Amino acid sequence: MTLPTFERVQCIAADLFQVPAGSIAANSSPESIPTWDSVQQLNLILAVEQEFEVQFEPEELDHIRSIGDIVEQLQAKLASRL
Amino acid sequence: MPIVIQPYTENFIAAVKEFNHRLKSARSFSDFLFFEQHLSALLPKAEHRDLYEEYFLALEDDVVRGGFVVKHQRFSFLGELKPIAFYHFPLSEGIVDKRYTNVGVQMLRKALRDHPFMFALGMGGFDQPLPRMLKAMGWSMSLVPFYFKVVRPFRFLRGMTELRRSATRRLSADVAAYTGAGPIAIRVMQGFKSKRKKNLAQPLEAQEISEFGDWTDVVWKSSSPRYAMIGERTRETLNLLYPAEGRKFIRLKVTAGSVPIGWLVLLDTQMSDNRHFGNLRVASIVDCLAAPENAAEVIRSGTQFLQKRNIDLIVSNQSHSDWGVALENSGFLRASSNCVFAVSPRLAELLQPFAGKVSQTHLNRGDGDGPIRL
Repeated sequence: MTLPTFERVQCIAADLFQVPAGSIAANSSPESIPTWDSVQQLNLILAVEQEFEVQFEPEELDHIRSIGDIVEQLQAKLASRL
Repeated sequence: MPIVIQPYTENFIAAVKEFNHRLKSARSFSDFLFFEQHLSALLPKAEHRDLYEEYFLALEDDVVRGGFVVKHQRFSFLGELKPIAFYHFPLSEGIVDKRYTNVGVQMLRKALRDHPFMFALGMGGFDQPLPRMLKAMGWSMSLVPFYFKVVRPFRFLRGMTELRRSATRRLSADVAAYTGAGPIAIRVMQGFKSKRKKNLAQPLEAQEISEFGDWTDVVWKSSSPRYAMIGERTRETLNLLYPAEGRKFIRLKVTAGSVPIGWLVLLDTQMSDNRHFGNLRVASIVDCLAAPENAAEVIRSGTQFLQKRNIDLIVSNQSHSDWGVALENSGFLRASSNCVFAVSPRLAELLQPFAGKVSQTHLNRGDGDGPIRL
């Protein structure tokens, strides 16, 4: 995963979950971040979609269970646009 | 394993029971459980029927992780009929297991992709998870106003749970009840709002009926074009929504002279340890229809009918401003509402400007989930 994409997602997540950016790792998930609930899950996805101008399909959301998953899905979408 | 969202079929009933068991085990209360039958009991899908419900499940390798219901109904937009979907009862294992936090979002997005013209109603207030999710997705929102009329003030002050949540409030309510000050104040407030002006020259009559007849279609045809958005209320749909068997709905046909001008659906419920109403006997104006200019007469007829019964309180939710005024003219007071009306971006396009049009929609407890908890 490329650093800029991860870092941008990391900043979005940190801002949303109100935790230090450094505490957000690739394996960070709802289980490790107490404020990450279903509403914040949606807010995270919407914020990422807006930041990167992409739209995740419901089936793609299925693979998103951690910050690393979001970055992976995002990179696949961005690559398909090239 | 990936989550698959598919229609609820009979072979998953056992899996839904296991899902409910996991929810019950993880939470101290069981308010939220999914249906342990795969078809809607009241509104199953049937050929040539526009009004029906479909149940869906979110499955992970045949294990149920969530479910939701889509109610299909035609709505009239100033007389133009369009099929609209109502999204309700979303339930995700994410509420008890954070590994499934994603399921709620997946279900909502799947439902919206399949039914872009969608709304949600009720939901318990803007601060609840579903309205917050809908807001984040750009849905337009407002509250459906809530109205109440106290018929027996003493019993209301002594029995209304909402007024008795703390020792101080209980004492205040009791003092108000026993000194007589409370009943007087309630009567003054309700009387102040009440207006007796009659619009119709013909004498009004409210007649209790056992089912809706052909005249209902005449009322529907003449009144539906007057509303910015209204769920179809023909004879067929009304007899489906308020069937003769089952709950004890009271159906009133209101006539002026011999001409039917409208109707009401009422409930009269003896509450039992209800979290809002305690043990009061609560009547509700669940549903109603007439042309807006006849709303006052129809509401007055229904209110007078209910006041003859031994009830403590009458409640109603009405979105249309004329029906709200009609309630106030019959002595109802408006109170804070937690009934959220949320429409998807595509549906909101039909109701522009939303802030202005929403008070011209006709929504009440007959819409959405129907009169649950009443």
